[in-house]
Amino acid sequence: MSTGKKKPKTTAGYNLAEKIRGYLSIKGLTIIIDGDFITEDAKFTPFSYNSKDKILILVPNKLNEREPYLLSEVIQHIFDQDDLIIKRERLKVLENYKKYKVRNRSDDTILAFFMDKLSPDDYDALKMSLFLRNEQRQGRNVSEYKRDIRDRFGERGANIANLCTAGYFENEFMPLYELSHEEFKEFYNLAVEKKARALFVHSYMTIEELQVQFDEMVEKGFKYHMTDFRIHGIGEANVVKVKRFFEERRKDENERFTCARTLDKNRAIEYNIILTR
Amino acid sequence: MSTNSTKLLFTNASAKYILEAFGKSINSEGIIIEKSTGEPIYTPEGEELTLQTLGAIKKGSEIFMKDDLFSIINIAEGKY
Repeated sequence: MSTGKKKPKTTAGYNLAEKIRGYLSIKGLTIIIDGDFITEDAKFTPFSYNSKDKILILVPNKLNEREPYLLSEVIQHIFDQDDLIIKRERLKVLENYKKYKVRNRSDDTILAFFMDKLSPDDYDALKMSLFLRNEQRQGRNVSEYKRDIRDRFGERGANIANLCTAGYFENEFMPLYELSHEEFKEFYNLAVEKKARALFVHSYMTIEELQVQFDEMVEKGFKYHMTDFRIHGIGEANVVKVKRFFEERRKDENERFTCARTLDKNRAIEYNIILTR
Repeated sequence: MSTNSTKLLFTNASAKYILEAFGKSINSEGIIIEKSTGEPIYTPEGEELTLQTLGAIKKGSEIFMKDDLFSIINIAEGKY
């Protein structure tokens, strides 16, 4: 029988908010807003706390049933303290990047060298690419990073990532810049603006790989009705490699292209392959 | 970000609660907007965001960042 009096909030309701507010003062706390039921506890309780790992899990819909404004209060509290609010999947990336910066001084040297030589966008693309290369070497999946570079910086960024992975920046562009600023500028722009019409020979490419890529370029050239394409080699070793490739290449009497050397310097070589029909 | 600082982590499914806390919502095209004005919010790079592409929020009035490597690097280097 109702007495007409208002029913007081349950003790559990007050305890819930006070309990959660109490956790906020723990140093090194990680709060996860679990809207996906990523934890087993999230199916049954509005929150759970792991004291060993200092992880507080808040389950929004269950929490909101009992304390509608508490979640926003917690989020605002974290924000006001200038603490990190980040997508869960990206925390590991952030932590990996910080470790990478501490351990990879050689990449810092590359970035310092190119800081005043590249456009801001190219520099940022290079920075992302160096990290991508490091992660790749650690055996991690880097497809998302490649996509991020391409999404932000387009084809040019994707080319920078490829050139970086192939060691072009430290092995080819840095020495070339020391030799000739103009040559560096010319070849750098050619490299990063690489269209279907250019093949860049790099230090890690073997003669056999060059043959495969050359054949692919010829095929692509005919497929897309190109008139010609170029082979570029930068650096003494690559100049030797390209020359050797063309000298030793087995010529097919039915091949429908001609090769002309259009640049021949100690540190740079270029061939123009003209496709005939 | 020291080991003593607090972190708040969200997922695509719980991102909407983050938006609510900051007076934001989603329009019919899935773009994050200011609830009061209906205007889209932008990253420091001038990009619109969705629930899926929201990566992080930082103080500095309110800085909403994209969920990509570029933003993560900027957070790590204290750019925002």
